[in-house]
Amino acid sequence: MQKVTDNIFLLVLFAMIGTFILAASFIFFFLRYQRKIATQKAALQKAEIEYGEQLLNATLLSQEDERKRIGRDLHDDVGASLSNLKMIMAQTIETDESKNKYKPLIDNIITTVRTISHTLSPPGLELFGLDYAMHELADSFNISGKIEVSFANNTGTKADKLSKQTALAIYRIVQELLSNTIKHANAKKIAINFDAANDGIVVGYKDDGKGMDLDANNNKFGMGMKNIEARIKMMNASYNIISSLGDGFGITITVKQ
Amino acid sequence: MGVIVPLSILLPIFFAILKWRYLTAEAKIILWYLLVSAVINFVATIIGKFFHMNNLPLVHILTVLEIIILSAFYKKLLSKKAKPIFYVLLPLVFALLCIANAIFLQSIFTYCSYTRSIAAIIIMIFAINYFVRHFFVLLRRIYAFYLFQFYNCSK
Repeated sequence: MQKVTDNIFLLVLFAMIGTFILAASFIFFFLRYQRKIATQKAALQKAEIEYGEQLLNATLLSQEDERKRIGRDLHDDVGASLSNLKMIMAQTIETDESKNKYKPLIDNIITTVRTISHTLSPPGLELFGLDYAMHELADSFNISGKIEVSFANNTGTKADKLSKQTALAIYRIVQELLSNTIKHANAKKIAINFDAANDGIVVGYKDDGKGMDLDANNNKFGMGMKNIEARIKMMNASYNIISSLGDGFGITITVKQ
Repeated sequence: MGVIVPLSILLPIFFAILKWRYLTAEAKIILWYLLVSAVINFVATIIGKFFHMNNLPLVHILTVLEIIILSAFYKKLLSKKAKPIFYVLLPLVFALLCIANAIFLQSIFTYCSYTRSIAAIIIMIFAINYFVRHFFVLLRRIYAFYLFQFYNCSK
């Protein structure tokens, strides 16, 4: 049997070094693993959010396309057919009594069809720009006499130079805000302003309705408001809501050009 | 058992030689390791059993060869990621250490417990280093695959 002459302390030291390396590498590995998992989870989450946004954008775009198509079909096909019908009836019906009975009815249908088609796809927006379309929108609400909508464009031609998609998004947002005000706010006056900013425009919207408690309604907005948020995101714009109970509802949207 | 266990090394050697064409470069290095271990074990058994001589010098030789071969193995395994100097210098320094140990501390006729311990630590570092690198590469691949799937689905 070989006599043990080994330095036992040296051997214990080696064993300790080995154990230390094992323990240290385990801790290092665990921490690195946690960090990697966290970064990769964040990347996956980001991808999910991006995918959600893309999906929403695609939905909004296809919705616009469909609205445009239905609006055009209503205006061109149904509108034209009704005009033809009106003409034919004017020629074929001889008695004034019958004419007076059917003419207002057909006129009413034609007006309704035109209003629906214009709401679905605002023709003024593409033809004459956002400024014109906004005035037209304000006027369409003012006709009723129940509410006073004022629109002021302080950006000069800047608003008309926005891309088609952005202009349509702003138009739809204002349309949605107006509809919300009429539905919920019990307001008498609405002021819409376009102001110039350094690299874009600021859309200001304010009504004098009953307002809302933002703290109580936090994240409890309905579909309409979610649509507005989605459109704002789509434009890469930012927004700020100013509202409190009894003090009306206001929102400013900063759109980059 | 004293025969079966040392002989069991012949099994992987036999199959490795049989499937030589399909062996990767790393597997070929491991085959060399097995061959060296088998030969040293065989010679040590003969010297010990039949000539009744001290066979411990062979352990000194095996310790050096083991680190040289395993360095080459891990260098190949990590290919571009491994720093060549580290994998060449380390076995060289270790060989010198073994010689110094044999001359000054533990004679070749005693068990080289110091260098065996250091060799064990070195092999442990090699293994941990490979595991950590390989695991994170694998993890990245898995996540890249999921992200790829995700983007593919979204199109």
